[in-house]
Amino acid sequence: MKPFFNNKTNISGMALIAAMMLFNVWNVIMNTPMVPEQHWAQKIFYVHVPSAWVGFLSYFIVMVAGILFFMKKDDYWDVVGLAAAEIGTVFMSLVLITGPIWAIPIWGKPWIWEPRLTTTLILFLIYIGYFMMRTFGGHIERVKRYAAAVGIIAFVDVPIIFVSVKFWTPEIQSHPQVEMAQQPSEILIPFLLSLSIFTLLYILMLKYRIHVIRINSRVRADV
Amino acid sequence: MFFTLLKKELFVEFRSREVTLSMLVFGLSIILTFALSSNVSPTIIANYAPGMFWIMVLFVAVIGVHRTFSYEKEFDAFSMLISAPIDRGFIFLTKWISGFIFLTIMEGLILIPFFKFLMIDFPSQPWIAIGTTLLINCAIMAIASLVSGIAMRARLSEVLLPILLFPLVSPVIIAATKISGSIMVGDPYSFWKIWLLIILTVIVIFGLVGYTLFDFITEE
Amino acid sequence: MYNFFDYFMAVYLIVFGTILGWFIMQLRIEKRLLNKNKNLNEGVNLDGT
Repeated sequence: MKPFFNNKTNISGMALIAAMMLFNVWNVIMNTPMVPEQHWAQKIFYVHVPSAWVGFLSYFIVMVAGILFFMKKDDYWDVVGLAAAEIGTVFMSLVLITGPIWAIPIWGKPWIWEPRLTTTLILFLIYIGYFMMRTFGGHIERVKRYAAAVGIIAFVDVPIIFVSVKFWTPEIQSHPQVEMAQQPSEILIPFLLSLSIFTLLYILMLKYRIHVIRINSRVRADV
Repeated sequence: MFFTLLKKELFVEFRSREVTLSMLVFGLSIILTFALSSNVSPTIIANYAPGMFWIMVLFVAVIGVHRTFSYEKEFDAFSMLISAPIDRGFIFLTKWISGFIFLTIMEGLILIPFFKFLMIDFPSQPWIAIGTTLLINCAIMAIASLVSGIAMRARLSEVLLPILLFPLVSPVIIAATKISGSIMVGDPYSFWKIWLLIILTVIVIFGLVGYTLFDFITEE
Repeated sequence: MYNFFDYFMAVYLIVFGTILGWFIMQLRIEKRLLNKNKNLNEGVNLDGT
């Protein structure tokens, strides 16, 4: 077992992604237009939405890992599911923290029952249950199965949750920045760039976390 | 085979009536607490009534599902049930159906106290109200049976079950409150059509998912 | 306040701080685990305890 950053690909990947993230921030500060009435607060969107995207992507991977775990009965997929669940929850927490910070200047109050934020909150709560179950679930072999099942159920529920929250309070429109395709290209292109960079960062984080979890289980097994 | 299982579930319950009785009493105490703790005029209560009803149903469903699954925890009957040569998805289906029956019975008994304690009028279209309530029960029980299959054999199962269940079932609660609210007021079908669609989607999807996953969940 | 720069700064600090903190935490966990593993393999308490 070697450290993750022992091999050249990982080190260069990390360096590249760190550089891209810095470039991303520079790009947002320098090259994006100032939206009237929102000024600097609008630029939060370049970080908030990619975080949400990465969070949902991660939870999707938990579902896929759960399905593959049941099909192939390989513990590797359990590790992938756990890593994706953890990282997904980190990014969803960021969404739930940066959302209100963005909301205060834009809408005047920190929380409204906007569909996507509410879906994020519900999903976050489901995953608190996921981690509680991982800890208190009992025998480890059973827990792996339960965790895979919860991962699948959670993401299957997401579209249903989203639709019901969307029609729940029809007077609340989505984020002001909703219609992506209608954004002018000075906003759209940096946004897509930020999105891709966040996705690459996520892949690196996922691989790293899988690596660390596997070391952990091997050390535990030896003990 | 499936009907044998189902008969067993209902028969055990019929003998002791443990589950429906505990659900009923718990439901009554919740409604009493709602009535006592509401500091507002009857018109406002009428607006909140659908929500209160479904909150009560949710808590009672947790109790009910907890009881039906813990039957098998005692004497480790669950392992025997699993080792039987049957499709384990059937276990999910029987728990779903029996839970649905118990919930419906409890709701039938609690309807009159509910309307009388909170001093609200009966809905103008009772058959539609009953029909939609049945469907909503079905949806709640689908998710609840699936989640308890997972949570019941864990430690801290009494805590884990609601924690996992409540966020997962939140779209059903939203839809249920909207449907019941519309029906109480007498809104036309088109108003709550979408919510009915959501309920039906939940029933279909979680029914399928539960049936499929139960096999994998209960492997040893 | 009018240009909301402080909100922008707060968000970016939180996001990048969290990501950086995550990497640092993973590095420390990894180091600790690999040290434990090395000690196990080489035998820390050679006197048998």
